[in-house]
Amino acid sequence: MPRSWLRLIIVCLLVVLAQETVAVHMQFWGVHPEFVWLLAPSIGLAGGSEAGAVGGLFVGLSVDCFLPTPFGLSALAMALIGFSIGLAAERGALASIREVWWLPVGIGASAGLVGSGLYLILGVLFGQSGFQSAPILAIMVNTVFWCSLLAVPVTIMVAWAWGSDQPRRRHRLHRMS
Amino acid sequence: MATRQARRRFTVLAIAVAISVILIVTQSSLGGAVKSVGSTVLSPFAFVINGVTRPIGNFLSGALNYSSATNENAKLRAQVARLRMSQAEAAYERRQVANVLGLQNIPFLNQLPTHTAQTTGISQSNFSATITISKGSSSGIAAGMAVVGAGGYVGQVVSTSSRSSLVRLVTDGQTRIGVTFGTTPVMGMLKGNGHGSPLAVAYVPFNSLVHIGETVYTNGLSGSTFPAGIPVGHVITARSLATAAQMQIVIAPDANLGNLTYVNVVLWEPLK
Repeated sequence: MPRSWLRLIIVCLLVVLAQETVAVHMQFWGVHPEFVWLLAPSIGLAGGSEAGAVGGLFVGLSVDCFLPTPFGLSALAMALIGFSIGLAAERGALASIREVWWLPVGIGASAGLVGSGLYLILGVLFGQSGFQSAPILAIMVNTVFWCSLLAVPVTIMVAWAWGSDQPRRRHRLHRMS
Repeated sequence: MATRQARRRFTVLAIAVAISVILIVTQSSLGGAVKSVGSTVLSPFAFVINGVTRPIGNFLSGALNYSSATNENAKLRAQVARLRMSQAEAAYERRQVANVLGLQNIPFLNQLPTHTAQTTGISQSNFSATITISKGSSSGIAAGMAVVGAGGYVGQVVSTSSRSSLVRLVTDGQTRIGVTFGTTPVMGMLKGNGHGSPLAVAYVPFNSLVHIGETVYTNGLSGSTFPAGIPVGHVITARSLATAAQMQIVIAPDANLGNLTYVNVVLWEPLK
């Protein structure tokens, strides 16, 4: 459980609103940065798989409020990503995140790539045929770039909002058991 | 112990997935209602942040009074565009009066009430082309209504909260509109091809009379989502390939989608 739900909600809302108001004006190759994919994995890293799934669901729903696509589509993709990263963290696969500098960057890049890819696939599965006409390569490259760039600050912010060294402590507990 | 923990973990995931899927498949009822509430809560925050960040962006990209100048410019452009659209509609009306379709009592845009709204946000997703406007259900705006401005058809309202609405632009890949060509009775289905890409018209029979530069209007056929006579775009290329049963027609939107500071929502809903 996070030490302060309010702090976590404020951090998540700030990132979502920054995405939906500021980032949308920053066009590169005709697409804008999408760093909101970092939130669910960051919650998963801080709080584990359950927190990743629930956090991803709520972050996704708040993102979906701004989109014309079916309500719940981003939520589904983010819940799955948050859960996966949280599960990997619980099993110790990401234990060296504080020692290896590129690991958060790699997680951010993967979150961006898998997140936008999953969103695209789920969108098509749920009847969003227009997704196929989107500049997919540009979106992927752009998302990976921005998620890599902002992975460290977003992870730190979410960990601060969660209120502890959760990933490290949980890994230690996992090894002890 | 570990099994129970793992079971709990996957139960939480299953619940999260189930909630998402239920909301996705109940767009017209539960999903839409939750989205409307969420938008109502979040849109004031987004409006405030937009209000703070937009002038900074304007300042960085131009001179000291850039913001007021661009606003004034945008209003004038919108006014010119409205006049241009009225002109195009008049031409359409003349043709329709002489046409059999004119007898079918199809409503024309200039007889319909509109509501002017300000654009408060642009495409929030790279996978769709949208704008957010400053008026919502409290102003009588409903999902499905057409949005016009800056020279022609802009898009369609897809969801509303009490004080804002989300509009899917004509270029969005999900756009499908029944259209007719300016001087001929040829009809087709206009499709969006994504943000920044020209539009395409499908289902136009091989060797139909379609001219370059011709204006394309909404056809307003029975069951259509839009009233007839809204100018959508003009023909850039029209080709009949020997191997295809349909013509390949490319359309440029008439509306200046890069300048949508103000738009008009057409307060028209199809008869149910």
